[in-house]
Amino acid sequence: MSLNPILMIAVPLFVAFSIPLLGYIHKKAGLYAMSATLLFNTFLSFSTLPHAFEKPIRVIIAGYKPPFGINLAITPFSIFLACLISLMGFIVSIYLLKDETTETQEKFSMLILLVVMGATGIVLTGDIFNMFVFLEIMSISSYALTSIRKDRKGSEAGIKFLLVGSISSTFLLLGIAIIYNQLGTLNMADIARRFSQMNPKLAFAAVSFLFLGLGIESEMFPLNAWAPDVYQGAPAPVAALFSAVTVKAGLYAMIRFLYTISNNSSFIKLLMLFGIATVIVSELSALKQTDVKRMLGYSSLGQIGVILFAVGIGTKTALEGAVFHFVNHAVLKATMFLSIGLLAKYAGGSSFEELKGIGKKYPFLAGVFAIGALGVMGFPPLNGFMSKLMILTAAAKAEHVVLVMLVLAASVVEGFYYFRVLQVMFREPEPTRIEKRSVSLAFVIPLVVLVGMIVGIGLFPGVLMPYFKGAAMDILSRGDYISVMLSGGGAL
Amino acid sequence: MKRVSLKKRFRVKNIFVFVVLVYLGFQMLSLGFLLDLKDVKGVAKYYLENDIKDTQSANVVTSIVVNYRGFDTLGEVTVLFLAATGLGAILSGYRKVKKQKILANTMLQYGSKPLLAIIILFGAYIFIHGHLSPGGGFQGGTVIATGFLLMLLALEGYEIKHGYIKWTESLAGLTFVTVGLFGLFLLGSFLADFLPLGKVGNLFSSGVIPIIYVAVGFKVGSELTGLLDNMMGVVE
Amino acid sequence: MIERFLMNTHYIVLIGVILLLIIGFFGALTKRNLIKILIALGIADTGVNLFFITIGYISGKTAPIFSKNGLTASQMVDPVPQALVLTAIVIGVAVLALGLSIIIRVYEHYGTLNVSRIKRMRG
Repeated sequence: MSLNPILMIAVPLFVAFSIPLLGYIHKKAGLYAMSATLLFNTFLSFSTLPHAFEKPIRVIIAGYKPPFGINLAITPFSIFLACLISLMGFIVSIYLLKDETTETQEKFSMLILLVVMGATGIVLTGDIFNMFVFLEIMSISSYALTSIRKDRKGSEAGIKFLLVGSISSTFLLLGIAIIYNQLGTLNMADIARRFSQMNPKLAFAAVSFLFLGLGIESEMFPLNAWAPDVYQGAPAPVAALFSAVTVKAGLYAMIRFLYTISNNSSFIKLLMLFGIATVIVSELSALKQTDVKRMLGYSSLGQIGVILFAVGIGTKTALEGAVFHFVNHAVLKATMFLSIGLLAKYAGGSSFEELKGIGKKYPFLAGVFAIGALGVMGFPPLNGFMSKLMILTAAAKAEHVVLVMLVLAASVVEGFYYFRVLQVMFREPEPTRIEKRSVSLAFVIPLVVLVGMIVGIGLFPGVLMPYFKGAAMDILSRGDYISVMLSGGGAL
Repeated sequence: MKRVSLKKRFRVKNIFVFVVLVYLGFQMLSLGFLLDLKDVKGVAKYYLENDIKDTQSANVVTSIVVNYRGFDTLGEVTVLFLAATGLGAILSGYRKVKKQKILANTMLQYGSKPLLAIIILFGAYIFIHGHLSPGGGFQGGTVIATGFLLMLLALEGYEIKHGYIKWTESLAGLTFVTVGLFGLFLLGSFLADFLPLGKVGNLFSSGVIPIIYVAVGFKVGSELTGLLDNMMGVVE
Repeated sequence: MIERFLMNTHYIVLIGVILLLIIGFFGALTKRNLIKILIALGIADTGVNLFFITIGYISGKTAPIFSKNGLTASQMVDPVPQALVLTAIVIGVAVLALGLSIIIRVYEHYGTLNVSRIKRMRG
């Protein structure tokens, strides 16, 4: 018998509440506590993984069986994402040990911990209102983290993020209220079981509201105007966390809602079109950027578009590719944001002008960035290649040839602007104004681990393949989810 | 009052937005007929019928908030905690000047002090009796925070010690999680009620509900007071 | 149609809900002042909260508290929306407070609250 998965949420909360008091012991105690907690989460999620892949686990809270109480629904897809989220959180937290983003270290570490906890809660919970609460925990800490440096860009991005996020939560609540009125339940499995009993017009309204709300959270095209600002304005490690953790949770909520709860095929089709629009618009906007961090933000949106596109196709291979792309996008974007953050810190800014020739001063950091860029472009030995290939093959099989061409064209554009960055970094003459400083070990370790993951996943994708298959099966097998969650899940 | 030209008042975009919103509003109104508003159904029916048996709490809303859906409430408390933390982090670094342009009058200055005690007492009454009467931790905590708001407004330079707020909010939050963990270790389910339930209507009844609600009351009270204190001091 | 609405308490409140939502979103989309936008969103939030309460209300029934003898479960309104709305209100307060604090910082950097002038990041 292993530990109860509820501890993945209870322990971070306990630590977050005690961080203000830990400050009395040592100034940096909060940071170390945060890192240790995320390590614990990683350990716990990985140790739950094999059990959940055998049979989904249902964890009951407060002793009431669903649908009467809240429960955690630990299915292959959700535990796989929980592993990804806590692992990425832990890697970023090592980086943060030495990072001086803000003078309010204590509050900063609390917010980071709660962002990761909120994302974990979203992927694990089995109750739709509880998911909303975790979504709000995640977004409110994101707003604060975006503007934590109190500089101009951060504040502007933060307020935009907050206003849009608050509209999103209004829509989500409206949708949940309509569902509750019709079915009298908030448990996701119970809603899924009886979704067809809803009045069709009201069901359409509820799905549209939730689609809009979750579309904002998952950065879907017409609703993502705030996202590049946030990626540019937020501190680099926070931006890494956003693209590796919070977007993943938003996408999870979208997929879980469309596939498991409502099973609405027309909205899933719509997701495909929005995905394509996201890819094209963001890759084209990335082309004309002069700030590397903002460009990375657009490129991140492009990758999300690819995931949305794959989710919209809806075949088993496409979903496997989508889950694979989840992992790749998280690893690659975290690598790039962390390395560009350090480079920008040493160069004094993240615009093309300021990064000229930085590759010659800091070959290691710029090299890491280059590996990440090559991975995103999809160079064969690296990990980005396999997942894109899977998605495009699946799309071609589903006879969306035009859309495949569009994604390929967008990838060419992507290659173009990344090469431009690399050229600025490596081909320009070495700058004289930047002095060489030594890079702390706390920065090097996460970057090395991430690069190891990029190369490792690229060389041996077969190791992870059973997990992708299991997660994709989980997304598609709606009946299993309902029966397991309502009648009792597997043992721990 | 500034004069705004007619053209500025009725921009084309604004009219367009208005028309679209009114159209959507009528659509939603027509959906309103379809809502099912006749009877209690689903989980709510279960809660109403089994509340006494399950929790011995007279107030059904309280037993839902603290017991059946207690996990949500833990999240909710976290949201408030986050807001206070985030606000503290973002507003840190301001030199706080607490000056009033017009001093509060003598009546207010002297009357507010005894009032504070009464307000706190009232707030405590509300959260201690959360399982018996309308009310609870959130409501009681808010009432307590209004007491401190009165002090901040009435007395120039009124300081609330930051240490107190910090300790209260941390300990209250830790109490909540610890009660939950006790449930996990004793009964195998997080937030499960591990205390004897007692009899409905008594002050000492319904197991852990009063304990959690008192913790929530302290937490909300300190959190909101901290928010007010942080916002209050900012003067450029 | 109108008579049918006014016959029933629910529908009168529902009109209020929709008016609040329209006012809120209209303000959020057309106002230029950041604080006004935040207030408008707060109004829309209130509309949603009122909507929750509306769907929980059943004409002729009382509050879900066993306050005196003889009250039975069948005489009470739906308690769940009331519990949910408590959560929604707290979340609204949290967002409002955080939003105001960020607005203070924005004002410090830009010297204005006009959204059309707070646009340094674009492209």
